[in-house]
Amino acid sequence: MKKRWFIFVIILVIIAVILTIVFINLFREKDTTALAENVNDVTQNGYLSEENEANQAIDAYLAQVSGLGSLEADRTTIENYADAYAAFEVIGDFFSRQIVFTENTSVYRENRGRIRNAFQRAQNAVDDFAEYLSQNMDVVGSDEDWMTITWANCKGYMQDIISNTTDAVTRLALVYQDCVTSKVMNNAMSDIIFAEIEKWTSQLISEETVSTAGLGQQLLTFVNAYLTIDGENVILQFQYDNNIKSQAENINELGEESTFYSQFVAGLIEVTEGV
Amino acid sequence: MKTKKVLCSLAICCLSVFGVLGLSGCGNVSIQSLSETFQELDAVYQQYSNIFTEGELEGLETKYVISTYSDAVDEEIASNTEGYVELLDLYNATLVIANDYTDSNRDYVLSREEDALSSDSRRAINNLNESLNDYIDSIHDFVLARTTLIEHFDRFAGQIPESDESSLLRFKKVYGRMVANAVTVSTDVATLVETTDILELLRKTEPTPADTETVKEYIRAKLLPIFSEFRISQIENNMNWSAQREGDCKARITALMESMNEAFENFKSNFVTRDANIQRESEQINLLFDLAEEFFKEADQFYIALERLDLPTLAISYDNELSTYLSENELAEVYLTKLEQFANISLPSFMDEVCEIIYP
Repeated sequence: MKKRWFIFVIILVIIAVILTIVFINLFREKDTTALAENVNDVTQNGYLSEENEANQAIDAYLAQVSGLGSLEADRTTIENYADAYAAFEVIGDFFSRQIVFTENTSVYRENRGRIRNAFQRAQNAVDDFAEYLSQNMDVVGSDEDWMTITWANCKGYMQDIISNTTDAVTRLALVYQDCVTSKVMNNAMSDIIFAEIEKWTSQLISEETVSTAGLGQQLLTFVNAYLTIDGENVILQFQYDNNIKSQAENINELGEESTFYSQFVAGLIEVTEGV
Repeated sequence: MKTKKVLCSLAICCLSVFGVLGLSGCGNVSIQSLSETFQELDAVYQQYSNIFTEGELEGLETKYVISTYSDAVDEEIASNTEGYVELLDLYNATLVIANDYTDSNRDYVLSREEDALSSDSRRAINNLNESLNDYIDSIHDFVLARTTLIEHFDRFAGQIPESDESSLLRFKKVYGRMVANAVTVSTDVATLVETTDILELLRKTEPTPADTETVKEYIRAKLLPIFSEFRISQIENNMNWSAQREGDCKARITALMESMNEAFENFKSNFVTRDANIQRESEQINLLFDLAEEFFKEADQFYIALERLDLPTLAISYDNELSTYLSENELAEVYLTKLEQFANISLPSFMDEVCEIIYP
């Protein structure tokens, strides 16, 4: 009797194992659509969308406080934050266009949850920031003194937004570099673009360098040059345009020592051959 | 005793499962079987020799010019009437180009040594055999559909325009399936060629004009489905595009179609009728291979975008309203942007670069 039960249990265990394997394979994520939809949602409906109300409220607020004489000491930081936010919209749109075409690799699987969480934390900070503005402005209006006093709180929100978005974008770049299989879109040009973005964003999240004049504007000019729908042509043409190829490879090798570096940083590398 | 029986049954069951899984690698198609399938195809062409006729199309001497339809349809084709002229300059042209590659490489494929075939080659042969069988079936369907079209237009042409349009669309679906199968056959031939040593040899040796021509034709075979998938499988097979609702989205897709049509004309003039009679250095042929390898990975993204955008659903079920369609297909804008980028930049850039190399 005992033996029969034992055999019966063994058979059940074997069936359970087989069914588990089958169901895991059936429902396993096979492509990158899930992350692509997440990024798309953030850039089309969420805080990286220009039409997002919270985004607009924060943008309007930053524009106002950057002009206050009482916050002169923080002016460059405020401007950097505003420009960086606009730059992240462009970067977000770029990745939104690319991620769905990447391969589902271990690098993708390691980072997709973290990217999602980083965007969520940034979104929470944006929502809290917008809520804070809405509640307090209802009470005191656009009072200059109030803005001066509350900047310390608002600065905290901006730091959260920038640091979490930087985290998400840095991981997206990692996924892109590992998972985009074609050199048409993943090449020395895209490598140096991401490296440069990382350099600036790391300065944005550092207390010591966030107030560097023009930091945000440089980042914004740079991403507008290379990561918009028109701008990314410079990545697409890498294989066909010998000028782009030689300049990108030179910068990749020599970094700031390259004679093309300043031109690159200023967003001036352009397609000279082909379409 | 019972316990032993149960354990034995379990063991036999497991062994059977493993056996079946192991044996699933067997049943490979032999070169001989593939040859027989090709002969079946020849017999079908012979059977319908009054339909698949000899002639010249797109600068190619061919056996696959589809002979006339009814007078009413032939007149519309001759007048370049939109909706009808595609039967010749798109469907028939694509069929001819696809079959030209298949025919040119058939002997090479069938002359492979059975014992020397790699696992990739065997897989490619299996796929080719399957696609040949699908193509043969679709030829029979096409012949039947053509007869139905001719009967309709002979009896009712011009009486009810909607009926003519509907009849034409039904015919195009079947014709389109045949053309798609022909393209799959030629693509599978190209894939099989990839698995043999010929392309590797071309990388390592100084290429002759004939070698350059081989590479050009290989690239041509791989490019062809880009055009047939977009224009035939997605659009012509499913709708009369000009009759779809006007709007911003339709204008965008129309612009996309114009880019693809321009690219198709470029493809025909440079990859079909023009001879690569230039001897190139091996370094440049190697560059060509590298460029092609990367480009066709990008082309895979084009196919993904095309499939997932699902133009027929957008056009027919959503009246070309992209903003409404986004509620069902969140990434529709992403897919459409990828198609535009591919058609406007990647595809023409690649074709121009290939021409630079093989026709300096």
